[in-house]
Amino acid sequence: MDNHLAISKSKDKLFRIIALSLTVFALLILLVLLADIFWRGFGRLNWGFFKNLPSRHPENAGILTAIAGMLSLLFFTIIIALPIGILAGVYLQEYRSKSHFAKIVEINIANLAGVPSVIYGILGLQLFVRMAKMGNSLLAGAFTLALLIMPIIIVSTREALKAVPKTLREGSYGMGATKWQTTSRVVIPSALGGILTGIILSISRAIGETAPLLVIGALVYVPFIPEGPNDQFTTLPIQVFNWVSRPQAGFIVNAAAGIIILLLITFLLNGIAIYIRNKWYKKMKY
Amino acid sequence: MTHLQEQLDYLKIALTDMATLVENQLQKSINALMEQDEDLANEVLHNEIRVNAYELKIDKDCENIFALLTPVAHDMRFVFASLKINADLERIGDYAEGISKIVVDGKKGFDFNLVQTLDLKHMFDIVFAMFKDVMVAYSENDSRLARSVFSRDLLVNDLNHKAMPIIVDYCKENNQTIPQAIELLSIMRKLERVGDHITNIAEEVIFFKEAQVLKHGNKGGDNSADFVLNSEQ
Amino acid sequence: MYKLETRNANLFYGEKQALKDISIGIEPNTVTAFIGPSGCGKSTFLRCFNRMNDLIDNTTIKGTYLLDDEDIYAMEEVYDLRKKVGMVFQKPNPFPKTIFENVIYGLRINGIKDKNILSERAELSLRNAALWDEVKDDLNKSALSLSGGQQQRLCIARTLAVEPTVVLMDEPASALDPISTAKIEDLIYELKSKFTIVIVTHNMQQAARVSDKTAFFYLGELIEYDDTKKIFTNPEKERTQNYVTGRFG
Repeated sequence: MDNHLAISKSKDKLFRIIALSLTVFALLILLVLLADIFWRGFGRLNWGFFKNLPSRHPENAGILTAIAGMLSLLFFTIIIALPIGILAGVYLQEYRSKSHFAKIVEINIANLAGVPSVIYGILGLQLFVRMAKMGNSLLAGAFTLALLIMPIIIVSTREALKAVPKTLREGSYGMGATKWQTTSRVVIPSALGGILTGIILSISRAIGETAPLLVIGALVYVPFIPEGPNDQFTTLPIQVFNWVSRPQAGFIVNAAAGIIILLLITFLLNGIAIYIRNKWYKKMKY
Repeated sequence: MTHLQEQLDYLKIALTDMATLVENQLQKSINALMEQDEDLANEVLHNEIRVNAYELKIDKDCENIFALLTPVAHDMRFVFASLKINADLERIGDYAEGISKIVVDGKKGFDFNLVQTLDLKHMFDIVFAMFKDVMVAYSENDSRLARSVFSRDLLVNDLNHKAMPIIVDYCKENNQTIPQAIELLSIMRKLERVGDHITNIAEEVIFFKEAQVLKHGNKGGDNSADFVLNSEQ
Repeated sequence: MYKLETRNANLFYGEKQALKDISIGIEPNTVTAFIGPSGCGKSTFLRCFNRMNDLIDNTTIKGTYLLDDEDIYAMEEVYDLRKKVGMVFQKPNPFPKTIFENVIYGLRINGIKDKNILSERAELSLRNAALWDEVKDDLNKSALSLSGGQQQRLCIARTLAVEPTVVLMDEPASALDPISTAKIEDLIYELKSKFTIVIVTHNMQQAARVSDKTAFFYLGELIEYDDTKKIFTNPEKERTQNYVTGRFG
């Protein structure tokens, strides 16, 4: 008996040590990466970096157009992807969840979320840039990215709706509400936290995408701020990509600085997502 | 107002209504005797079915309260006490009927000097006052008032005890009116029994109010009954 | 005339028969309790009266179900039925909205917008549900900040606001503490002067305390239906007696 217990205890200890060391190892790698970036790029962060246009001279180059392009792109992506994604999620979950149709769609959407993003770029190139004749504009980029993030929005909307307890729906039906009244007045408001989280996560994903944008022809050197949806554009990841491939040392520094900004934006968005999610779930308190 | 409280209130009202009826029966039966009024006595006999009807109804009410509302603590003691008081009231009603029956069936010609000697009216007055007091005690949950009947019952018992020698002497000297004399003795006995039932009611009121059982000379501890039964082993 | 009536009610979940040939008539302004062991069909039967079983797939319903002598299942709009027949559920299910919005939810979905009507009805319903005094100072608080017992009374208020004539309650107090339960029972006793109430409960003493008539169900059949006094002092059927005395179930 005692022997058995002793063996169990030492297995337990062993597992803990292994798990701890692997975790530390992973964190360490991340820390090293971050440290490297910060060390290289932090000094470069000044007001000029933010407001300058790109230039052939690294000291003068700034990320203004990249940020402007990124924000404009995000804007258009959101107004395309959001309504379609959320409504599709609501329809599939609330109106059709048991049918054969829904099951097929569900499987396919899950697959789509895993498709390499460059494929979306190729699709976008043919469909939007060439066939719809949008050219390599913000609009084409927005449509392409919208396609990319839509599965995420649909899935997280569905998950959020699924998490709304059945008893809430029953309570609404019991009072003589129609399906649409129940969905719009009770279910969606209750699921809003989850839906919002999904939106923000999909935006985070969209911000980081480089490959599909390059395929549809986002420019790498854009010395102007895009003014309308039909203008050409660049984004921060592309800008970084561009700088990294230049030989001058100054550009490596710029790239590092750009990465810091990108990381900050990503952390910020994720932080907002977590904050909203926590606040919402505290409010729901099921 | 909760359902339980409502039912308890109805029960109290029903029981006090029954008591009022029985009080009237007693009063009428003594008046019938003192005034030799056969009609009044017949009225009492006629009303006896109402007393019995009350008893059945109150029994059923108590049964329903126990089954449906499961009262506990003083609510339970109240229903318990009411159930027992119900039985006592019915017996008192029977005695009033018995007295009236004597007035109706018996030979006329009660010797009112004998009635004086026996102090029968006085005995009745004490018993009647006890009855009214104990029902007020029930109605107002007044255990102190309830206790006040015990000493008066001793007086009643005393008057009853004294009656036997008086009647015996009377019978030796008046052999024409022996039946009436014996009937008067019977009436005194009935009044004494009424007094006993009144003390029962008083004990029930005290039980309800104080959760103390005063029966059979018990001075208050719950365990004395168990003690007696177990020590037989 | 009966308020609610069924004749030969039968219900199947797929192949399994959940209700067997139930015929019952419920008088207006009474409280009727449905009792019986778990799985006897009492909740299923209750949910027939407001067609909540329609929401479950694969159910087959046969027989006649009447509200005020009108066939429930022949009604064009099930929504009208549910406004006349309200339901309170086992677990309090207030919407994640303010107390006020919860109470008037039913009115809003009927298109009533007049602020005066809404606040009047809200106050009336909250008073009827014995909750007004506890919440009147802040109707804009979240409904989820109330205690369990208060939430359930809020759900009752919400149901009453639509002015139904029948209120169905499916074990309304089983998720609550004893004091809240007692409050709900007192409430039911008071409501019966205005509504017809049918309550499913697995707590027999509760059925005995609040109801006028009791129906005992077992394995999908109606075994006995009579005055509550009779069922709990001297039931006709032995099975009923065994159940109420706690010998099985």
